[in-house]
Amino acid sequence: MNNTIHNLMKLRMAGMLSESAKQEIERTLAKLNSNERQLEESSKS
Amino acid sequence: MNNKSTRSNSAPQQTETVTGFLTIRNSSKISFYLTFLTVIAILSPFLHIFYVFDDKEGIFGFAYMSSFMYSLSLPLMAICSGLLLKFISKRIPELRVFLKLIGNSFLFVGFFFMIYTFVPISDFSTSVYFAALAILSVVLTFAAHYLHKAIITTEQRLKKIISKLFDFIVLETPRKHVSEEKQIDYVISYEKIINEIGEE
Repeated sequence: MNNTIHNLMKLRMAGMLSESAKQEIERTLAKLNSNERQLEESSKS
Repeated sequence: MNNKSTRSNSAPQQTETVTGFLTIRNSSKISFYLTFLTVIAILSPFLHIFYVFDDKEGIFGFAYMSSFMYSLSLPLMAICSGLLLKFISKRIPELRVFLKLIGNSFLFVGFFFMIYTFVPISDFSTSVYFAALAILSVVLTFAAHYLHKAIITTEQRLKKIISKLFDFIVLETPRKHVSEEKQIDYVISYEKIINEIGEE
């Protein structure tokens, strides 16, 4: 995840990625991560 | 179908080439011109070989014909190279001005030494050489400026294209063309690609 954020920043700085695309990817990844955590927690409990 | 279209079989055939749309007649004309210039440019430095073994008295103030031919060969090469560059400049829009300036510089140098060869004087004065150097410096500075501009413009255009493709992959495709159950797989796939590109 951190690696992806770093790469997203690099692409944005290079002008190869629009701000809206970057934000969308960050939002989607955050959503995926929170879903995974929820699944882990529910499986533990 | 009208009568005109049935009679059009005698019209000149168009040939699609990689460099553009040219008729067969034009492309053969172009290739003849290019071949002619290339042959002159490549062979001219060897012209003096004809007089190496059986040298004759020179013309235009030259003691030997071999030295006259050698003196003529390099300007000829420069002029042909200049004309080739000017021809190519019309085919490459991004480098058009740059190639034109470089082509003109080649022509300038070629004609400068061509005049030196044919005018029966021992040499140009120092001021003529300095004036030529000054003109060439200005022309090459402009050429470098346009080359830099062309490269930057190309790079920016490519970045814009990549950005638009990313917008399509990230914003449009998942909303319009990917089913809900495949969304996660799709995001994981493009995340992988982003990491690959980012680490290049």
